[in-house]
Amino acid sequence: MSDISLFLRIRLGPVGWGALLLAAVVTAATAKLAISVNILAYQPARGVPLLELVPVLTGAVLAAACWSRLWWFERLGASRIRFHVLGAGLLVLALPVLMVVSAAPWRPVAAHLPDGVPWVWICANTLTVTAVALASTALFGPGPGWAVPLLGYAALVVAQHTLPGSPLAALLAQPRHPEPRWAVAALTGLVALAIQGWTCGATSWAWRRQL
Amino acid sequence: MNPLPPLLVSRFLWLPALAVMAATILFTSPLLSWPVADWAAVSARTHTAVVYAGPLAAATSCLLAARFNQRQSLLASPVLARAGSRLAAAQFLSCLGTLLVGYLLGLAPVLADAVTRASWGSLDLLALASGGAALVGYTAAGYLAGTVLPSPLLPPIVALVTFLAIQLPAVTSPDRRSLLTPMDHSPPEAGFHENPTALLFRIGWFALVAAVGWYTAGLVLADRRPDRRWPARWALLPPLVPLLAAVVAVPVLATGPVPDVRPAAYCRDLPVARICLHPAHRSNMDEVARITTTLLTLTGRGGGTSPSPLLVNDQALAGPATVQLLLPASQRATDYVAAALTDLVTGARYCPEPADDSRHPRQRLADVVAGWLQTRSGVAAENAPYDQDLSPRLAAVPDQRVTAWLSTHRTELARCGLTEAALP
Repeated sequence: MSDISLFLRIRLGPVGWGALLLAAVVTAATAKLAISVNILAYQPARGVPLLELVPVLTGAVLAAACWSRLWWFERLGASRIRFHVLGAGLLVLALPVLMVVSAAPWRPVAAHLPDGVPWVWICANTLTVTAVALASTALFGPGPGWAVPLLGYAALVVAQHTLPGSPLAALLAQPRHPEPRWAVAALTGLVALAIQGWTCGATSWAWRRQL
Repeated sequence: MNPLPPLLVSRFLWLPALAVMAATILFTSPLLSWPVADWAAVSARTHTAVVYAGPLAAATSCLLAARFNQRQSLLASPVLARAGSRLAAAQFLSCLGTLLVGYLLGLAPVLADAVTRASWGSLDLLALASGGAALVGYTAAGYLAGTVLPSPLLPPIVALVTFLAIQLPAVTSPDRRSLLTPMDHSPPEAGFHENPTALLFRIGWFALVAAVGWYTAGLVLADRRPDRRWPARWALLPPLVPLLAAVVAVPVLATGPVPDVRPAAYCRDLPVARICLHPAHRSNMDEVARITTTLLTLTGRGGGTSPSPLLVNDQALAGPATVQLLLPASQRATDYVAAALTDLVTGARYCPEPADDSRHPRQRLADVVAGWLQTRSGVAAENAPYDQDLSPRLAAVPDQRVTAWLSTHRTELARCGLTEAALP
């Protein structure tokens, strides 16, 4: 375990940990706010609580920030390295969800997510987006690492508002249908960990793109 | 020396410019379906639309700076002919020009809609300029962030911080708007326009932010040595003084909307009433006239029998009136006009305050009559007042009898003086 924490400390650095702490504070401080995505007048709006938006964004950036730093060493892929990569990946998946859980007591009493409405669905959404970020970071590098999941998340939120009946809209939960999508989250999480473990954190193509 | 002036539009940034355009279109699109096109509301949207365009612009310029201004980049070396603030200006201006084009294209649909549909007023150029200035300011702030910390991870963080910096001051302020951000959660509608002082202050503030961003980024680029991360400390101090002065000046300034200077009222004389609307609400006139006639005929005032015609006046026009109409540009006029007229007929303002959860019997009768009148003048049944027992009872009575009853009891009813015992 201490090996994994050392591994993660090298990958993130003190600035990264400070930023993570700041993000947790921002999540709690803005948990009452929400953005309303309301493009079409004849479809109900999709509320995006900042309690969802900030952890989702943090998860995407965190996964990209934990991009492999010593890849030419790590790619040797001794079983111990794979174990470390997987452990770091698990921690990256867990941290944004922890942010949601710790900020949930300050969750909104506003119209978009009234008091008493469950917030557990936000954990599943955060997990899904972070997992996609982990996978795309390993496959394409740190820049697309945050861009792919965040653009995908934005597209899904718009789809939930404009095409409420489509299967795309069912990939993530939303305030109007707060059933957490644990199956999607678990599946993307497992795939992301598999990609991380298989590539040891980066494909050679993504690594060469960075040079 | 670079013989070419900085290119104002860069073809490499078409994707972010497209995103800025899409965000602006999405933000302004609800106005396209408003029944009334109102220049005051449209003008306000030309700067509040920066709430989504601004974070995108800041993230774009941050990404540009983070890509090109790496600490050891040959493209950003301090020994180049075009180094420091000149390099910053070249990069920043090309980024800015592209994003501004995207922003203006995004505003084009709502502006074109207002040009074709609005019956009064014109675009507030100061408001548009303050929107453009805000975009310039956030682009410069993003560029500075990307230059100081050239990391590919920074853009999404910059986008979130910019969004919060735009929204939070306005959301937490009591009047729902802020001078330091382009956001205004209670924008003016016809009858009012935005405070020019506030708009001028915003333009000056964002010009200052842009100048400080550009100057500081130039310092960072010019002073970049392998052994030094930051420019000399004293050089960073001068720009802070005007920024702080501007922040201090905010509470002293008036920010609220200003009433229009006596717009010529658009009036129509009916046998039962004289209706005067704000010229921006001109397209509502037929609907207002229809409801007024229907409703007053139902109360037995039609056909010139009334002693003096009512004066129905738009609230956006200051002036004397028997009935003040509130006409929000975003809503159909029907419900508002019917509610204002039935309030007059049933004497809603004379009715006693409801005491602990139960309506007064006089208030109850007033509601029943209001519901009857409103449903018969075109208000949807679910928007009109309804009473479980009395409304079906009144609906069962033939209309002529109710009209005759309303006509005979007009004076008592207009003072909210009847109870259910008096129902026909």
